[in-house]
Amino acid sequence: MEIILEELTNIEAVLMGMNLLKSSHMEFVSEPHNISTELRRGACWRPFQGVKEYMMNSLTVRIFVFAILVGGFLNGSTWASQAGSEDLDLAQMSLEDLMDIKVTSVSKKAEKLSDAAAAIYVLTGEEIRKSGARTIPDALRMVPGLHVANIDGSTWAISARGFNASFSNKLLVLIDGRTVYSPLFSGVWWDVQDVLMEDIDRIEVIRGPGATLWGANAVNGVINITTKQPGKSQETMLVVGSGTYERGAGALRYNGPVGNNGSLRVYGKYFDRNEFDASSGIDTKDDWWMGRGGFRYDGALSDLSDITVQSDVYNGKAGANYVVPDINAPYTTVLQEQTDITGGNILARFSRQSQSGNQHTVQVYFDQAARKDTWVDFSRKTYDLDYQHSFGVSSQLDVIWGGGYRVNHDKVTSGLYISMNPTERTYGLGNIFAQIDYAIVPNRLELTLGTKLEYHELTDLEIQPSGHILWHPARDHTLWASVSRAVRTPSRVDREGELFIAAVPPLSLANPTPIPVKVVFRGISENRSENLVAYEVGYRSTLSNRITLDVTGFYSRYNDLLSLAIGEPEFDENYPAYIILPVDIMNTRDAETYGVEFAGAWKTSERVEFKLSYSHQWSYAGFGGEGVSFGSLKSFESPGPSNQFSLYATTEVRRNINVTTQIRYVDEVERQGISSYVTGDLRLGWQVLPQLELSVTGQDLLEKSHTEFISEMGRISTGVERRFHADLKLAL
Amino acid sequence: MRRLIFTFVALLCLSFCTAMQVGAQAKAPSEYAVKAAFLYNFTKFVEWPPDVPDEKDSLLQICVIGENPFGNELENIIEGMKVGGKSVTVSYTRSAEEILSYDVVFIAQSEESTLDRMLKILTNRAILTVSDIDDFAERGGTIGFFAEDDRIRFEINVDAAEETGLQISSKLLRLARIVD
Repeated sequence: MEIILEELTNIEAVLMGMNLLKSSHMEFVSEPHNISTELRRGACWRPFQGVKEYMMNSLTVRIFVFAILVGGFLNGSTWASQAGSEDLDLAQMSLEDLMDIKVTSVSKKAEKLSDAAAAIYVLTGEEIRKSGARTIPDALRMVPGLHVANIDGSTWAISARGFNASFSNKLLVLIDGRTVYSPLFSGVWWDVQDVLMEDIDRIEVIRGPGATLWGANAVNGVINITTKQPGKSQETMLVVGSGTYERGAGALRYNGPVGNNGSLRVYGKYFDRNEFDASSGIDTKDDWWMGRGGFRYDGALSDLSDITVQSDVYNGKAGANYVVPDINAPYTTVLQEQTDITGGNILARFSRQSQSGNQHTVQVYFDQAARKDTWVDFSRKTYDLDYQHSFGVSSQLDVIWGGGYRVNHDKVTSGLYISMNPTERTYGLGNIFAQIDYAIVPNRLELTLGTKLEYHELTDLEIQPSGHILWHPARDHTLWASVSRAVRTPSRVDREGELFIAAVPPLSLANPTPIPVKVVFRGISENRSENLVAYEVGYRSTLSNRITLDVTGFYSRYNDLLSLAIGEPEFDENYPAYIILPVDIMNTRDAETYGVEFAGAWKTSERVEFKLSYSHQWSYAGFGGEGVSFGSLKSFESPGPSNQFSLYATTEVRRNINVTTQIRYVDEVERQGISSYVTGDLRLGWQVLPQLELSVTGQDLLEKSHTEFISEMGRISTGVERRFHADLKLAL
Repeated sequence: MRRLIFTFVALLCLSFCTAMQVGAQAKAPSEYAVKAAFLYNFTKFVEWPPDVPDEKDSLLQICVIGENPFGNELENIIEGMKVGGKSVTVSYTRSAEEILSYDVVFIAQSEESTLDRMLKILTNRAILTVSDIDDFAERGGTIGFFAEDDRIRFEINVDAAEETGLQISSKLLRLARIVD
């Protein structure tokens, strides 16, 4: 029953949206508000009862925070007081002794953050492992300004600076230099974006446009996931674990040398995850499993040239419940879906550095993905070639330029809900870019200017320039400002797709006619790119070795955003007869968003570190343009929460025991009727032996379950539940 | 109720860990404290060519270029130390132009992007270059730190050392991984 109610509100949202159109032909939606608010409440509130309850649990929350703080401070202060007296006298030690000392953390790579004129945030592999994150989206919850929300167990909506959806189309994601953004649906299928968590070297998140370097669709952000190089810092290992949600998980990694100059990593990984919270009474059916495997080889061809070859393949099955429209009574159906998911990729990168500092990189990859269920059935292949060259002209001027060509081929089997015309398409896109870095005053004032020219076979030429200026008013203080333009190219769906989105029952409030209405979203082949001009300012500071601060403010202006316009109703004479109400996907809307993002880190001692983040945004102020915006519909392009807060604390309680805690507050997603929530994670890691680590992780501990987001595609949201997991990691 | 129980357990767990900590053993030194000690030790096993004109003959000057990762660990180590009769000093800079007047230059990881240019400036100078930038020695630096099994190791580029004219003692070479 609840599902049907839920669907009614969906239909209502669509119709309400249409009603905003001046040119509306739909007299029958003249009173959309008459659909009982009682009904809506029933549909919206009941599944989220858990969320409301956290208010009652504010005491619990306070205790949890207190626990983190007490744990952290006590540890910090005891170490601080011990530091002087019990320290080893390093100055008196011999080299041999020094070589025998085990140190707490050995940072592999530096983040030269203070010199980036962008809102960049880096999650290190170490942080991710300590947090107990089991998926990449889990890890991304730590990043300030990102909104990460589960729709169900295997679906996420992830976005920066608004416009969130399960196909959040303004965020570009790359894994080891390979884009994983789907040109077919404009978005990222997060369920298949996975690596061995232990292999992650770092995740760089740039909020705001990154199109000059990264290309189209890097509108609101770029997420760049990099895995470690096999070799020196990696070992052969085995991980096995089990938990209340992840029934079984295991991974095996081999790491070893190949010849004199190369090293190889081979891995396999498998997990089987349970259904999310089913306490609302519906069998959520969102359990899923996936297996993946692959390798990465890194080798030196000569002193100055390197090669990387890597590949992954995966296969899995994910379940979900969908509410889908039906042209026959009762006009909505619940589909229990099992989606078959497969894919793979292979990439080779060759880089050569000359003595004079010239660096050339050539990268080529092939990527394919396929999904099959009754809702959608497609396969896609991507071929990509990139070249990049960077060099210094003088000590003040650096240049980077390059270009690339990509070919996408996809095939969509028309189904009841999605069809494409033509069903199969091959399309190419080429780009060239150049960027200069000029130190106006060396070490003080730096200017970066660049542009990308991108030619898309379907949408023509896009120009995506940007300018950044960076100033160090004093050592360890950085001020920066930037202006940049980025575009989101239309997906195949936007131009050639047809989505059966709702069926309005006959003789109903919204449809007084005696025959049902089939509401269909239609892509229009004239659709252009959505575009953005963003203005950003930022300040970054290292107050001391232990404290860093980072504040960013942004103002974004979007033009030609997706919108909807109702077309002429058509009568379909098939039996049973129905009226087709086409709704054209256009791009006629404008929007503005602005906000602030803050990140701070404080290392109270070598063993204790706090990280704090807060973001606030004012969304969609001053909507303009014609038509109905996607953003005004209940579940398309949600403005997301206006406030987000998180605290991460990690302490080495003893040399071999680490405790890491996280607390997150996410404000309500108002348009979706999703309440705010507070939740927390806790991980205990115990290095029993140098080769053996045991860990216990609890995730989303502060409530039994909470709902985070509603899908725009009829996928039924399930509650993110409290879950526990134990892992054993053995270095072989 | 179960929530409260859980929180209580979590709290207990943390306080337990904290309590254990009070009686815990001496802490492992931080990565950069150890690297600072290495840096100081290196100076004992390197001989600078005598013909280098140096007005400040009584000083052995170490310079850290880039974002200082040591905090004050380096000062702590070298405070009051003498190597071969010379007092050891340390200074910090961000400008590549300034580094030529020092005996030892530690290049911080923040300078990775300009490393090649910096090494070019330093070619054929009697300056010991040390860094923990990845593959520093492979890229033409003299001594590079790397990590192995949470311990700090170093590698020496013998050719680069030869070009600088520095004499590196066999003991240091024996402990290092050699890059040629």
